[in-house]
Amino acid sequence: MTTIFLVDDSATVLMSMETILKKAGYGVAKATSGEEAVTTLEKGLKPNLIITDIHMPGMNGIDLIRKVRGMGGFQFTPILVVTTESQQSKRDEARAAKATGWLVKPVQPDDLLKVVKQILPNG
Amino acid sequence: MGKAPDHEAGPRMGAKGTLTVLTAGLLSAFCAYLLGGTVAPVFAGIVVAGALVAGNWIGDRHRAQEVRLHLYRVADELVQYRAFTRLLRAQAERIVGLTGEAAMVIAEGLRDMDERVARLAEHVAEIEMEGDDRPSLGYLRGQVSAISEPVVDMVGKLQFQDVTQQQLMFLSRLSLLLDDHIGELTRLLGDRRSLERSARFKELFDAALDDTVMMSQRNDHHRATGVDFVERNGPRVEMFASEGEQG
Repeated sequence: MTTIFLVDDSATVLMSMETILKKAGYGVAKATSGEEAVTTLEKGLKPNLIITDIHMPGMNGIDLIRKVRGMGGFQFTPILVVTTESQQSKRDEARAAKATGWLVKPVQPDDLLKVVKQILPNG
Repeated sequence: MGKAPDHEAGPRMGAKGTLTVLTAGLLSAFCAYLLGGTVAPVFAGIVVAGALVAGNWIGDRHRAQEVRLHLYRVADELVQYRAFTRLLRAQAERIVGLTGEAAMVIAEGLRDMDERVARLAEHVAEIEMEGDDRPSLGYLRGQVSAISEPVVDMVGKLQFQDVTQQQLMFLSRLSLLLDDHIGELTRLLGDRRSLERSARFKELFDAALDDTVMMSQRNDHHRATGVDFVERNGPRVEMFASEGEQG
């Protein structure tokens, strides 16, 4: 099963996206912080796609992307950033950190699924 | 705030005035000595100058006490504003907590409802596969589908809570900033010897923008500070690289 790894400190957002993605047939793993996400990946989770928030206490989403890109085996794993409306400089930071795309919260279920299908056409 | 002390009442003379009075008294005593040649006028002049200096000193002291009392009153008022900002912050945190819990309960309820409706749909499909072709089954299938249809959208809408939470926490940060500023002002009022100057509130307010990424908040800040500039948000969905480039 195609697994999507959700990283967000908001329990509401996690549950919301989990419901949308599971209903569309995807498997979902979750983490509530950047640190927890790194630990989960180090323990062996190999998601097909990572979706992360930017603004989280502790390790933020941009730092998480940089960290994940530096870990063995995740250089080409697609990473989507899902965050509240933010200034262009943050988008540029995410792009420079090698994020795959950017979605603004609240994410419409159709938009989310369209982007996920675009990234994972065989998922 | 209480009535400001009347600074016009009582003697008004500073160090310069005191020196002038003392000099005038001694000068008049000296002149009297030169003209009259007796000690009595000199003594009288010195007494007059001394009385004037003493009066002036007492007046200065009285005025300083009044100013100090006034500053204490202002400091006391400021402390109450701090309580006000703390109350605002506590309320913001309470709203965040309550809406967070409510959003979770609603999301869980919707998900549970969706799962039950899905089981119902499966059951209807099984009955139809067994060859039952009653028209009511078609109607039931349509109703089940209609109930299920908006659930995902409703769950998606609950992400509002995360956005609201960030906005409230921004208000909370502003309140904290105001609180610190008031605390600093209170400290300076209580220590008049201090030559330090509290950071200007505008500088602190502008500094708050550094931690603010939401476009709407940044634009509200620009408007509040009179800056004629509107930041534009990018598209809601933006792909940075094609799938091939990402591997």
